[in-house]
Amino acid sequence: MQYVTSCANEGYNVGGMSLFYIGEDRAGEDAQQEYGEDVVLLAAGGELDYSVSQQLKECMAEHIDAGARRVILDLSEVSFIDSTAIGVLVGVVMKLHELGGGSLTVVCSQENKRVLQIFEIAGVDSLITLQLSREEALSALTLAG
Amino acid sequence: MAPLRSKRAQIASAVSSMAVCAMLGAGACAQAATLMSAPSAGISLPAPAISVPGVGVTVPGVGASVPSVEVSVPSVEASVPSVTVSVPSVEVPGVGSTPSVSASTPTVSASTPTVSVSTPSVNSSTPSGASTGGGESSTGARPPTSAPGTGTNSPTSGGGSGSGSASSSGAGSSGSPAGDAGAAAAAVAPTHRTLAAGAAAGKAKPPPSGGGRKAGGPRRPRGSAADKPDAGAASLASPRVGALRTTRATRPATHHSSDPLNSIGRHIPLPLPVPDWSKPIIIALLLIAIWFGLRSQMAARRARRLEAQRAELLRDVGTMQAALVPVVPARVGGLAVSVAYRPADGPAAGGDFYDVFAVERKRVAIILGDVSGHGHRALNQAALTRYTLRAYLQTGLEPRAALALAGRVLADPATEHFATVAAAVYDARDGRLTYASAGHPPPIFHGLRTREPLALCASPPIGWTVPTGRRQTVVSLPPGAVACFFSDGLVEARSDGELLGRERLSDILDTLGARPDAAKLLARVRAETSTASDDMAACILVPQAGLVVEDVHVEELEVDARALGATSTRRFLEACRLPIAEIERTIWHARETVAALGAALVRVELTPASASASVLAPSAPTEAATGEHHAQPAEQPSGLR
Repeated sequence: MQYVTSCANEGYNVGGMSLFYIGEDRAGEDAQQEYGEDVVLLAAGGELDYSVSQQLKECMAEHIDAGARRVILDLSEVSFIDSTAIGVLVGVVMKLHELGGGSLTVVCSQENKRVLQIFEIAGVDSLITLQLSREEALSALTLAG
Repeated sequence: MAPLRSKRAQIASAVSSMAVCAMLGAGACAQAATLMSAPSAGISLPAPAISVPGVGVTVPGVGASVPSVEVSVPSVEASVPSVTVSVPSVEVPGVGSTPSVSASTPTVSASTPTVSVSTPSVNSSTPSGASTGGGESSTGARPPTSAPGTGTNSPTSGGGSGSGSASSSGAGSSGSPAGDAGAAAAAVAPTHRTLAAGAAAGKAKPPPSGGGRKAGGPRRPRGSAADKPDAGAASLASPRVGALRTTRATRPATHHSSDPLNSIGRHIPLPLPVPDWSKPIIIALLLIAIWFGLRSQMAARRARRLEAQRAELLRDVGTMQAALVPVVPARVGGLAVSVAYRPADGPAAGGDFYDVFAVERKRVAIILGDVSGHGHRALNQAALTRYTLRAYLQTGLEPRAALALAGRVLADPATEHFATVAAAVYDARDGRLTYASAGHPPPIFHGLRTREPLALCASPPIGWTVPTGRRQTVVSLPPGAVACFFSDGLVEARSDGELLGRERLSDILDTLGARPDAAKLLARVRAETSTASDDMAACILVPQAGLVVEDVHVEELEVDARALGATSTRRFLEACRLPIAEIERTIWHARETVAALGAALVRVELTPASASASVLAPSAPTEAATGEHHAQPAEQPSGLR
C-alpha cells in the first residue's frame, strides 16, 4: 500500500479511504487483455463516507475520462460505506449510461457483511451489479459483453 | 520657591507614575514611584528614605532614631543652612553600621539631641540634647515620630547606639505603645510622613511660622500622646520649639489640600497607617479597580446584547427545527408515539427529519428521514422532502407509492443532495403497519409474532434520479410490539472507531422496557459511543393494548425488466423462503406482466412456516400517479430527468 496522489496511475489515498487501480495486478492485466481496454479494475479500502466522497467522485471521473467504460470496483477491503459514497457510485453509473455501454460492478466478498448490508439497504441493486468476487465480476462482464 | 517647585514636581511625578502604574502591574508600581519621585524630591528626601531600611536591618532601634534625625534636616536647613551639610554625614555612618554611630561621636552629637528631646524624661538627663544648639529647631519637627522610634530602640540600644540614645531608650520604652519588631515597621511609617512634612517646611521657610506649621501639622494626629512631654522638653531645650508649637496649634493642617498624597490616610481615614510610598500604589490599584469595573460593565452589556441575539437565533433555529422535527402527539390513532432528535456533535448538524400525523380517522402516517450533506441547503431539502411526503401520504397514497412519486418529483440532477426516508402508515383498525424505505435503514421491531421483515431489495434514496419506492412491507403489530424508526446516525455512532450497528441498537431498545422512550434511546446510544458525527433521530411506536390483531406479514417488490434481468428478484423470493418451483413460476408471471405493463408487483404473503406469492399489476395509486412512467421501461432512468 503506497501513498500516491494520482489515482489514474497507481492509487489514491485520502482520509480514511484508499483507492487503487489494479493495472499491474495480474487480474487487472488479464482483464484489460481479455475483456478490452475499457475495462478497469479498481480496489478501495478503508472508509468511504461523506468526507471522502468528493475525492472518490474525482477519482472515478478520472478513470472514465481516461476511457474506462466497464468499471469493476472491489469493496472487499472497505470497512464502511455510507449513502453519500453510494450516491457517488450511482452518479458514476449514470455517467456511464450517458456515455453508452458502460457499467459499474461492485465486488464485495461474502465476509464483508457490513458493506453488503449497506448496499442492501441503499437499494442500488438495479443500477449497480454486486458480485462476490473479482472473478465472478469479470466472467459476468463476458456474459454481458 | 525652588523646593516648593520640586515638591510639586514630586507630586506630578508621583501622579504620572500612578498613571503608569494603572497600566503596569502593581508590583512594578512601587519601584516606579520611588524611581520617579527620587530625582525630583531633591537630594535631602531620597537619601533618608533609603537609609531608613538600611539601618533598620542592622539595628531596628537605631534605624528608627536615625531617620528621625534626618527628618529634622529640612527644618534645620531652613533655620541654619550650615547644619544641612552635617546631617547627611550623620546618616552615612549610621547606615553603614551601628557601632560607627557611637564611634563618630562628633557628628552624631548633632543627631543625638533629637533622640533625647523626644523622650520626655530623658531630655533633661541627656546633656548633649541641651548643648546642641543646631538641633533645637529639628526637635520641633521630630518629637512624635521619635517616640515609637525610641520604643524599638530599647532592646538594641544597649549594644549599638551611644549613651545618649541609651538613656532615651529607657524612658522611650515606657512611653511607646509597642516595643517589638512590629513597632519598628510602624516607626518607619511615621518617619516617612515626617520626612515629607519636613521637606515641605524647608521649602516654605521664608515665612518661618509657616514652615513650622507645615512640619507640625501633618504629624499632630499621630504623635499627640508624645507631644505633651515633648513640648515641655522642647521648651527646655529651645524657645523656638515653643513658637513652632503654638503656630502649629493655631493653624492646623493647611497644607493638606495642596498635597493629595499626604491627605490619603488622613482626610480619607484608612484603618491602618499608610506609608507614603504606598499611596501611588493605592491610587493605582483604585484606578485599576475602576478600570476593571468599567470593563466588566461593558462586558456585561455586551453579554446582554449577545444573549438577546442568541435568543433570537435560537427562535429562528427553533422555527427551522420545527419544520424538520416537529412536536408530535404522544398518542395518535391507536399508537403511543415517542420521538427524539439529537444534533450531531460537530458542525454536521441538520438533515434528519421526522413527522407523525393522523391520516383520516384511524390511520397514522410516520415519516423519518435523513438528507445527505449538511448546511442550509440540506435543511431545505429535508423540509421539502418531509412536506412532499406528508402531502402524498395525506392524500391516501400508501408509503411505497408516496416514495415512488416523491422520488420522481424531487429528483434533481442539479442538486447533490438526496434523502433516505422511511415512510409508514399504521392502521388502527387491523393493527397493521405498512412501511416502505428509500435507501433508509428499515425499522427495528420487537415483539412481532410474524417473521422478521426482509430488508432485501431496498429502494434507492429520493433524489438519485432513479426509480424508488419499489419495496414495501406490511406487518401486524400485536399488543406489546415495538416498532422503532431511526436515522443512520444511531447505528453509525462509534466507540473507538467501531460502529454501534443495528444489532446493538436493537439490544439497547430491548432494555428500555415495554414503552421505550426515544429520548432515552438516543441518550443510551450516546452514552455507549464516543463519537456521534451525524444527527440522530428516532421514532418509536407502540400499539395501544386491547386490539385483536390477526398476524399478517406481506412483502412486496415492484419489478421491471432490469430488475428481472438481475438476480435480485430471485434472491428476494428465495429470502421469502418460497419453494423453488414457486419462485420459477412467480418470475415467469412477472416477466409476462412486465412485458405487458412495463412493471409488475410481486407480492409474497408469509407465515412463520410458509409463503405464497402472487404477481399483480403495479398498484393502482402508483399507476394512476405515474402511469406514463410505468409504461416506459425503467431501463432509461436518465430519461426521468
